[in-house]
Amino acid sequence: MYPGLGVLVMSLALAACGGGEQPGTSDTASARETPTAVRSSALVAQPSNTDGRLLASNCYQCHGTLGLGGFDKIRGSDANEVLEFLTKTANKDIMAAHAQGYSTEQLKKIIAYLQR
Amino acid sequence: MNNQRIKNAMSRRRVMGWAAGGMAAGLLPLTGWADDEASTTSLGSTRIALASTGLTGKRVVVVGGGMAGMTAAKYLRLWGGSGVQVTLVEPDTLYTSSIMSNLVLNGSRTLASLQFKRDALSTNYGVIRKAGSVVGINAGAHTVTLSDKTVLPYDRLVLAPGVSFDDAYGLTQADYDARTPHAWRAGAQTTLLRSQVAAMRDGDTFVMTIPKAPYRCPPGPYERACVVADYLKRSKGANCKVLVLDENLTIQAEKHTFEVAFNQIHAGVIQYVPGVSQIAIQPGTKALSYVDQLGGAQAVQAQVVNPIVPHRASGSAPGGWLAQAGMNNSADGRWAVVDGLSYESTALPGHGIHVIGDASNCGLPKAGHVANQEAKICADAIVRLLSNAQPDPHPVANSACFSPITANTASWLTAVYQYDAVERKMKIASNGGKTMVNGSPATATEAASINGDNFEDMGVWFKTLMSDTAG
Repeated sequence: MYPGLGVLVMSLALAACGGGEQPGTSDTASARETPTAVRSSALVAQPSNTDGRLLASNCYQCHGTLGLGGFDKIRGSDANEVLEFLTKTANKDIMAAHAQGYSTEQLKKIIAYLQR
Repeated sequence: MNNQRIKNAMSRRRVMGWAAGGMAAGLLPLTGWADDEASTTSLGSTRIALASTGLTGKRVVVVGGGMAGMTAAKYLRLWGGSGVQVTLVEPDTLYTSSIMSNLVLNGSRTLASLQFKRDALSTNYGVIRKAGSVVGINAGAHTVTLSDKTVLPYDRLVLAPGVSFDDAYGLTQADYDARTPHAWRAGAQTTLLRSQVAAMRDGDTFVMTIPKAPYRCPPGPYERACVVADYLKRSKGANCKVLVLDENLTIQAEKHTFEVAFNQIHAGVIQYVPGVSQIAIQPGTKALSYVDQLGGAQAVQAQVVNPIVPHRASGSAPGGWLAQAGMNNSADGRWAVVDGLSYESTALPGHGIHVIGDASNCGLPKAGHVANQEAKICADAIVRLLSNAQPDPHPVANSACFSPITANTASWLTAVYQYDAVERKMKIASNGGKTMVNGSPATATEAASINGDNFEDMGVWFKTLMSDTAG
């Protein structure tokens, strides 16, 4: 459905997956391959401190890997919003039901990871 | 409330942009959405760097490219780093999602729209994909043998082989493929069942059977009954019947929602019969018999029969590869019992063999969204174990399931699971992470209402789940 992007991804694969190096791209390569509407691939780093990482991964089925999208981006300052759901009625809001399944300490760890 | 709907709508556009970057047919093009993408991160053009762990020369083989297997392969690379070689073994070229497949039955989705490539696992994370299936495991030698005779060595083995379906009720695999589909793994049987339902006439009867728990996707059969009933009412007439013969004594998930659905929304169409046994089905004539809860013999003449038959871990039947390895160690020999922290097989402790997804017996329900989380817990445990550390002692998992009740309304079900170190298993938690609430075990939460907003959200949930799993 998006042939230009497909070519971009393939060129990254050829560059990155041969010798166990990290996948990456140069701006020059992506500018060459990228069609007009989409900018070059941004490589997002994961926080090197992994405390809270596994807990936070529970969020990704609905908010995308690393909390970058889905229903709502939660990576960064938006992560705090989860606390608003602690006072809502669980069966009226799936996010409230979800948030209330964690202890406060766990939610703080998740927020800290997503804001790192 | 208004802001949240707008926020959700914008998120949907973002998710569609992301989905187009990594996945297969049936998705909308990005043109026209470009302005919406300008101020947000489009996942379609964002890549996540692998972790720097210092691990080198490690090999993990993942068997099975379903929800659990794909997620495990991705996260083993994401969290293990470039020095953890991950090989994903899977026979099928495409993944066909069973989630949302009930919407093929009412004609609102195509099977093609539910099919996904696994290419992004390779291009984004460097997963090596190997076409094939497992025929044997040599636990002592740490190798797995494939159908093409390839022998793959491993430091850690992750088995996510899914389920196989019994010959049951007088039916065979050939009957499922050609006459009485279970369609409990989406694919050609889904298409067959759809054509059978579409050919029904006013006054016809659709009979579904539900096997004794555990079975994959607890709300799934009830959801299917609703979708079919709704379609028949709208397309065929008021006199069709959907008869649900449940081997279980009660509705297995979302009891309140489905009681409302059966007794109010689809009243007069759905007839729910719990506690049945001795089901027997004639695949040619579509005649059935069963024994009801009171011991009475019953007979039914159907036009369409959808037996959701008992299933078991793939390879667990006598003589199968999982059974030969001794790993089908649940009491009934159908499932692989695993450790709740690492998902290592309890039949072969210390051998580095993990089982996740529907094939495992781990205290979590069998469902794709849950399998995705099991895979993450397992991947994290393996990365730690490869680094000579111990698994996380407090893993948390979650399940979420949206169920269509009509062509445009849905319910949802969700639970968070905390690890109980005393009983060494996952338990539902609520009210701030507590497994006991007012003296009783915490329970899963079902939606208070069946509505169109839930149906819209279901689409976002599905796309995002697939992008986290396969993108």
